[in-house]
Amino acid sequence: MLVGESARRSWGIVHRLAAVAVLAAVMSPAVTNHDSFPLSTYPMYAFRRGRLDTFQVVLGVDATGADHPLSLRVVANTDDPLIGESLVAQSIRAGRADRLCEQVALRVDAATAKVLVAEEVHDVIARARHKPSLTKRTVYAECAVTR
Amino acid sequence: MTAPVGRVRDWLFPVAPPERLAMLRVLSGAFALGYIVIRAQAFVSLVDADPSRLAPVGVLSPLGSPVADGVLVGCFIAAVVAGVGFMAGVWFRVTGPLFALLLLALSTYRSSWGQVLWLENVMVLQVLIVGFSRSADALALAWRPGEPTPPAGKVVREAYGVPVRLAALVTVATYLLSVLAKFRLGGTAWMFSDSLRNHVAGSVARAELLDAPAPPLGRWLVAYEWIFPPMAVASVLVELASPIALVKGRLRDIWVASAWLMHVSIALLMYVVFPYPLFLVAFAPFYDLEHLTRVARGALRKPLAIGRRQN
Repeated sequence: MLVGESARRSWGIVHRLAAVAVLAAVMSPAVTNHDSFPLSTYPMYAFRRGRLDTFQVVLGVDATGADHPLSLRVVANTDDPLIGESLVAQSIRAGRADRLCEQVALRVDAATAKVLVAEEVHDVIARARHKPSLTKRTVYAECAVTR
Repeated sequence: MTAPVGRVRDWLFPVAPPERLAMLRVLSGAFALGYIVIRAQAFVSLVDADPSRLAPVGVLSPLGSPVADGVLVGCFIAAVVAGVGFMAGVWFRVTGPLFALLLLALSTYRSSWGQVLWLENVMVLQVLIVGFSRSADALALAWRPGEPTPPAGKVVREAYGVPVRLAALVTVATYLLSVLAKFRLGGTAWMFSDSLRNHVAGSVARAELLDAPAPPLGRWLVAYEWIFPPMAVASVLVELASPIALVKGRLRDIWVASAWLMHVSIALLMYVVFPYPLFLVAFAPFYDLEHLTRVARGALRKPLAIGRRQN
C-alpha cells in the first residue's frame, strides 16, 4: 500500500467529535472567564500595573534594628518567588500571619532577633533603580526569635 | 460534500504517518519526564505543606483535604516509571494514559496551594492528547534505527494526524486566550501605558523583597521608558498572529521564531520561564515531525557505520 490518499484511514465520528470537544474545552475559558488548571484564561501580567505596588513580605530584623528580606527557603521552603509570595499573601489574608511568623522564627539564622510579616507598598521603578521606594508598611505579625 | 467543507474537514482532521505522532510522543514525553524529575522537590515537598493552604483547582476541586503523603510520593514515582514507558512507547495502552493522568494530577495538585502556575498548562494538555492517542505505532522501543519502519508506517491515518493537529491548535489557543486576557483586563492601555515597564520593575522588586535573584537585564532596561510600549505592542501582535503557525511555510517559521524570542525576553527581563515553548516542544506540532525521524536515523547510522568499520 502506498502512502497517500488511497491509503487514507479515516476516524469515526466519535473520535472526531472527541477531538472537537477537547478543542472546545481548551477554548472554553474565553467564554466562562474562569481561570483554572489546565484550562486557563492565562491572565498573568495581563492587568494594568501602576508604579506603586503592594508586596507581602517576611523580614528579619537584627539586633541593631536593621531589617532585610528573608530567603524563600526560610519563608516558604521553595525557590519559586510566585509560590513564596502566595504563601505569605494567603497567610495575611486568612489571618494566619502570627502562625507564619512563629514558623519562620524557628528557621532563621543567629543574626536575626525578630521576624516581621508585613505588607509593603513600593514604587517599583524606584526600587528597580536602587532608589528609596518604600511608601507604606503595615505589620501583621511580629515575633521575637527565641533560642 | 461541498469542496470548501471538504477542505475544512481535511484540514481539521488531517491524515499523517505514524512517525509524526510518535515523534511528538518522544518529544513531549521526554520533556515532561525531565520536567517532573528536575522539579521533583516542588511536587514531593507538598507533603510538608500547611493543610490550611490547600485551595484545590481543576479536576482536584472536590478534594477536601491534602492527600496522604504516601499517595503523593507513590503517584510521583509511578509518574516517573510511566513516563519512561510513555517516552519509549512501551506498553503504551497503559503507560500512555497513565502518565498523562498522573502528570495532570501532580501538576494540578501542585497548583492547588494558592498559586496556579501557567507554565505547565500546554505541556499537560499536549501530553494528555498524545497519551490517549495511538502514539506508539512507530518509534516504540522495539523499533531500531536503520531498520525499516513497521508496516503501520506505510499507512497515513487520521488517528495519527488529528492528535498532532489538536496539539497544534492547543498551542495556538493558549496565545489567543492570553491576548484576550490582556484586552479584557488591561485594555489597549496595556500596550500604550507604563504597564509592561511596571510589570518588569515589579518582578525585580518582588524578587528582591523575597531575597531571590533579580533579573539584571530587567533592572537595566527599566531605565529606558520609551522601549516598553513597542515591546508590549509586539507581544500582543505575536499572540494575535499565532494562527499563522498553522499554515506551513516561511510565515510559520517566522512566527515560531518571534514567539520563541518573546519567551526568551520574558525569561531574561522577568525571570519568568516558560520551559515548554523555550525548548520549542510547544511548537513541535506545527511541523512534519516524521522528518526528524529520518534525521535521527541518519545521525545514528553514521556512528554505527564507523563502529562497524572499526570492528
